[in-house]
Amino acid sequence: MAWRDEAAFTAFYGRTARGLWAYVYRTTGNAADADDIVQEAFCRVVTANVEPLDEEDRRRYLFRTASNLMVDRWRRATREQWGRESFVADTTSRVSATNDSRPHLDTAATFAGLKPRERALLWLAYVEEHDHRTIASALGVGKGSVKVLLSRARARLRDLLEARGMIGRSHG
Amino acid sequence: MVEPVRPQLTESEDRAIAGFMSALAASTTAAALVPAPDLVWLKASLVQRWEAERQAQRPLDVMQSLHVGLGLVAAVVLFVWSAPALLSAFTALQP
Repeated sequence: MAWRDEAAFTAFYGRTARGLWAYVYRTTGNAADADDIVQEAFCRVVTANVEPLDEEDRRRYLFRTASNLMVDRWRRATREQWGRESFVADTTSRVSATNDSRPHLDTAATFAGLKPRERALLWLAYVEEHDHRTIASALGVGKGSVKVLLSRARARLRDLLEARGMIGRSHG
Repeated sequence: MVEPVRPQLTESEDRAIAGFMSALAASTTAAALVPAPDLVWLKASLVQRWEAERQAQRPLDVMQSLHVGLGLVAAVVLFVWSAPALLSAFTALQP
């Protein structure tokens, strides 16, 4: 049974759409792909039976659906190159048009230095604050692998931030 | 010289990463341009309707294929069954 209450959907959309777009855009690095995936994810939320779920579960379902759609695209596209090249070009166009400070561009370019899966892992862990089980389900990896993958992604981001002088180099 | 492997993050590095992610999320979310919710609702409604129509049409498509197949089988059976009679009729017609 599909979602029937349009007003409830509109409210849910208002609370989640921009955050979802930001997640998909920063993971794929492509605004057009982010537009498509976000719309597709919301269409699936409307047609699925998520109305009885609470807000947090609906939000998790939405991010999981968008993540699955991204993973489908990764599998279709020619792997790691996808996203990274278009990301840099896109960063200077759409998002920077409304938010054009240099630190922002540095931040975006640094994040773009990660692999798409690392970007997704870090976003879901730090921004959405999902637990390992939810991240595993969203990205189609084993629950046990999330801890290792996340640890590597954090170390990679730390190295990128150090290389750009955005954090001080520690001597561990 | 090979850099030592440093997989573990210190507390301050973890805080720096959390701050970085928070700043990135804030700037990207603020700049996000998403379509109006009623457009997405309309699109979802259309997709849902097309899917319902497709599902309703599926048994008819299956029956149509079955119908054509059974018709062909019946034609072949009829031909084989009547072949001797047709053959004798043609033979009788010859002078």
